[in-house]
Amino acid sequence: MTATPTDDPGALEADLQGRVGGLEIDVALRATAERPTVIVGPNGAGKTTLLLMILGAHRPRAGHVRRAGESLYDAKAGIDLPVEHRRVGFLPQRYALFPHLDVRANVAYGIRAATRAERSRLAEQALESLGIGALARRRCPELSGGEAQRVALARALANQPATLLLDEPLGALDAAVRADTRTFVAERVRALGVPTIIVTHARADAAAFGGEIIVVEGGRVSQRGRLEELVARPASAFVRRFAVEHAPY
Amino acid sequence: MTRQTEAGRRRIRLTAVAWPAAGGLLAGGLLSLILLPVAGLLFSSSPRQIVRGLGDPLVWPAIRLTVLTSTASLLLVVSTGTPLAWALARRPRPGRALRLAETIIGLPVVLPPAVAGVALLLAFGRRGLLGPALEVAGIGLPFTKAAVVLAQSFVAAPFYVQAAMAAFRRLDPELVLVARALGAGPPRVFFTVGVPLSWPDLAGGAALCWARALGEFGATLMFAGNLVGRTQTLPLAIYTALESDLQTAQSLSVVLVAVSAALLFALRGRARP
Repeated sequence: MTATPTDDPGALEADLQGRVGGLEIDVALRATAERPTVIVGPNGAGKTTLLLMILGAHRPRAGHVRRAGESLYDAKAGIDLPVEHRRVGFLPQRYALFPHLDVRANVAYGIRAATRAERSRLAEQALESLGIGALARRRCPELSGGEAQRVALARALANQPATLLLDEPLGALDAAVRADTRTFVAERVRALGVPTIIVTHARADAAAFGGEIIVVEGGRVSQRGRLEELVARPASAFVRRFAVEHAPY
Repeated sequence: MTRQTEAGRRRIRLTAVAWPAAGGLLAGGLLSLILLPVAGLLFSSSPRQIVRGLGDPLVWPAIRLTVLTSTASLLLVVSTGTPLAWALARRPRPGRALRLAETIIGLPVVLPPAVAGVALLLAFGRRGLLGPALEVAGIGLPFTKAAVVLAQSFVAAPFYVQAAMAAFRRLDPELVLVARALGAGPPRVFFTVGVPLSWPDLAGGAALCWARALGEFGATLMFAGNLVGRTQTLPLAIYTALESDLQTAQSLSVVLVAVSAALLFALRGRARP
């Protein structure tokens, strides 16, 4: 591990082993609030599975997930907090907006407040703060890809998560809106200030989010470091293609 | 194609005519098999005669009882069947236990109603499995309204539970996961994501279930009997009337056809695109 375990008490530490669908996963990582941790790797390398284990949707066989000294999962101690108690925000690749609720109700879903009116007010505030207040009463199936992305982000942030997991946050967007949205997401994530893990396909995303990059291949970490380090000393053919040749994969 | 023989062309022409004609004949045969009896019900008496048939003293107690018991059955099946379907549909891995549960749920569909009647008697009757326990508790089920509801629920439950299970399985698991990540525990996920997104299919299953309960005959007759005002539902009243007054039987049948057709029509209207 490149990071030292003393610099940030709010950091998220995960060390997970488990088998999902024939793939053996064995990954240790650490995410701090300062810079998002970026996970890259070929298709089927286990990136999303890793996120789902941290979220609590897949149960690993061994290992632990700790945040600020609190165990979310610990195989030895028999701790396995259910998803709803982990305070881990999750933004799936296809956003998963609730199609039967309007934008405001989607954002209000995770807000803890005494009354319905208060939740709606806070949801509108959350939308305003992301500059999409005008979308409040829209139905989700009518949104464009970029709008849906922002609403999903607003929903995840409004819940005040203590950790944020983004799975290919820009993967479903057209090239035209991707650059704009990338800057937007990177700013918001930085402003949120909680340990964040981002899975991405694109070198430009890794560059924009700027933290440590963890390369996962075949369920294991094949290299970790900042983008410049990957460019200078690619440890595998995949890293060379990703970091040096900028080839989309 | 230019070298096609005259015989070949004739064969093609024959197929082009004969194949659709044969299909039309067969399909038409099946449609008339269903349509003719319904037409017989509707048109073999004048509307006035049909209305007069509804004056028989059997009629209103049977209608009242049928509405009451079939609604109670529907409530019983929906309140117990929805959580069951949710639990079964949300199992991560299909296994033997799941297959067994699905078989048990589907059983009443393939059981002859008479067998269902005997089975209910042998479970809840005075000499049935639970008979002694029920007697200690002072509950006598056979030949009561409760028996009617049990018989109807037994035969109608699969129609709702299977529809509900299919609906819950179609639910995008990512929506459930996101709801949980936003802090929703299992009950909240069920009520705010599962049920609202499956609502049209749940309503469709409930309508089918209600229609099946409305028409229940065999199991009710054997387990609940045929007591006017107590256990004589519409189908049983039709059976009784048939022995004395065909007109009343016909009028009651017209009522059932109208209600069932209306249900079916409403179902078609709500079906998923």
